[in-house]
Amino acid sequence: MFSDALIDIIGRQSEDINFNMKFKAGSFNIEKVDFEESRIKNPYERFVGGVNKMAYSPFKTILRSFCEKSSDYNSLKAAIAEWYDDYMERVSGWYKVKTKRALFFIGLLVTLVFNLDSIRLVKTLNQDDGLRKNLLLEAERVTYDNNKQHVIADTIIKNYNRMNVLKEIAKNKLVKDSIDKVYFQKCDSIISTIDNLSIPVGYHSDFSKQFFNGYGFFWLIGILFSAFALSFGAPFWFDVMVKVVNVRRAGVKPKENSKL
Amino acid sequence: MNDKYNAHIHVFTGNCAPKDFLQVGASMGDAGAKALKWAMLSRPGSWLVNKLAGPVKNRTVQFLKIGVMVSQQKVFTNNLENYDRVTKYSGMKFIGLTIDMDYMTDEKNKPTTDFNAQINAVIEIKKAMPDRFFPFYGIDPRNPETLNLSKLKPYILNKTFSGIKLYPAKGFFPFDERLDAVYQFAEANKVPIMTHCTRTGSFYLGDNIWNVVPNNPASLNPHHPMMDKINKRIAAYKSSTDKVMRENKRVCNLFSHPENYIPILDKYPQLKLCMAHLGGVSEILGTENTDTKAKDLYVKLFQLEQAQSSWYEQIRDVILKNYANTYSDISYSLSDAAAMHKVNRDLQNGSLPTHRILFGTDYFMTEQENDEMKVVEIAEQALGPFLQNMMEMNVQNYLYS
Repeated sequence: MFSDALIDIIGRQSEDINFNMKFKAGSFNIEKVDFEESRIKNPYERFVGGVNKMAYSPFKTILRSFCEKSSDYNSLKAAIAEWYDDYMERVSGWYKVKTKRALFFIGLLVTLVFNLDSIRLVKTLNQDDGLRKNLLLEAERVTYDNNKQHVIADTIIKNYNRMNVLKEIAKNKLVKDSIDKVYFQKCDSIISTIDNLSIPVGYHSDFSKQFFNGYGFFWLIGILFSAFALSFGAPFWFDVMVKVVNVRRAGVKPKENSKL
Repeated sequence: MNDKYNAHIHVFTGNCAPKDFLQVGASMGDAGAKALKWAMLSRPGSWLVNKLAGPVKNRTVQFLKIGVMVSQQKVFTNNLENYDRVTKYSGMKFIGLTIDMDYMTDEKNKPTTDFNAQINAVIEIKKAMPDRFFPFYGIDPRNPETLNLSKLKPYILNKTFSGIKLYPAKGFFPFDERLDAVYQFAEANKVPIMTHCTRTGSFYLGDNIWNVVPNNPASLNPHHPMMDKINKRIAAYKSSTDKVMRENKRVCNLFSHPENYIPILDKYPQLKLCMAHLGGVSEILGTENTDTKAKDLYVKLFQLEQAQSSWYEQIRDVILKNYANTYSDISYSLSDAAAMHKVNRDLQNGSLPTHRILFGTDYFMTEQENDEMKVVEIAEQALGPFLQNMMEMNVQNYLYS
């Protein structure tokens, strides 16, 4: 798609326009203004013509190299597509590096709001066997649910065109509302899980007292560590969790249909 | 019935202007101007401006409403509809002036839509309405494509563009030696040039104005006696003890001064040149101005420049009088009734040539003063029968003779 658009945009520059103005006899009053556009029909030649008309720039040098590497429209399209894919890979790399800092600050904000102190979390988990076991069970449940949801989503996508599904959802407000409801319920259940498991998250009444009694420095380290960990993003940690859970189960659970 | 023309409108959008463009209207600093412009051009920002423009009749809001429009086509059709709604002006033709704003500020604040993109959008309007829209190509000597005429020449010869637009206050002298080839081409091909000639409007926004004001700027007519006077004026601004006179807004008067065109016109006497705005309201009214703030500034500048006459008088008594193919237009200045009455008196007593004054409004800049059709009404009332020729014969001669 990018190749087609670029070939078209560059090719446009090869077009010549000529406006013809016709005046009414004996005056400068316009009778008619029309224009002719001379357009090269072959898209490859059109592209080459467009590149030739461009003023010098580093971009023109790149475009010229495509012309040199190709001899017809298909090879030109392939050359541009290859260049685009390579470039996008590099852009993704730059993007990741650039977003890392922003994600760290967002993570820091989240950890500060929810007081997600990693040191305290690790300490509590080390000391509280019950909490550790409950959390592991919860992690296994979430992993299992998520896999199940993926299977359901895959089946839906297999059976329906995605765009049609989205259109149907947009059309049907009731369906949309029920989906919203499901998400709200999900949020509720996460909050109640945190509550039920007594995970050490949030600020407690003794916080300021402890902070000034030597705990402050470790709290800051804990917060920074959490922010750093959060900056890796949820998908990364979820993958880690899935791997850990699978190691605990001594391997990935075989899919049901693989028995057949 | 003769064709009617509005010889001076703009159709660029906020995206064509530099990121710090709002500094032109308010001193809010680089960062403030950039943030505000970004916010206004964002979707919610432009939506809000549009919603506000309905109930709030504030002129700045009305001006911004057009500035945040999504395309130049939309800005143009908005004005086209203004005229088509009034029977006597229905079918009005427009000269749309493009401006190269890529060099009016520092590199970091360059516009998101560059000059080439502005030109491409204007060509699309020309293709869509070839008998209503007559664009002029904006020239800046700092743009390399200007120097070799690589774009200008074909665009003029194939009649996509009908003339050339200069806006020296963006940071260059019109007598710049790099523009020599442009004037030579324009004179040889009878290409009309429109130049901005008023102390108001936008100006160079870069951090250091003196970077673009050399002590002895290179001229296409270096031995012309006027160059000496121009160099002295530059020295006067540079050494001014009044801090205000060393601000970009005031220093850019050096670029727009009407005397800058004398060395050009003496070298190219057949040049078809329109000195827009008649020098501006404060220069037309001079000491007759009832706005005391504007009058005081006029006097201050008059003294600083050691002038003998106002810009209006220089256009009227020197340029229009001595050079046969020079013109001026009433754009923007027509929003002030007193200024238009003075122009009317000068047209009646023959000190202004009736056949070389053009009608133009400076849409959408005039939105800061009044609605487009209201400023036309002011001109109608003040100029009476002169207005018809200004819209018809005068512009036709300027464009096609």
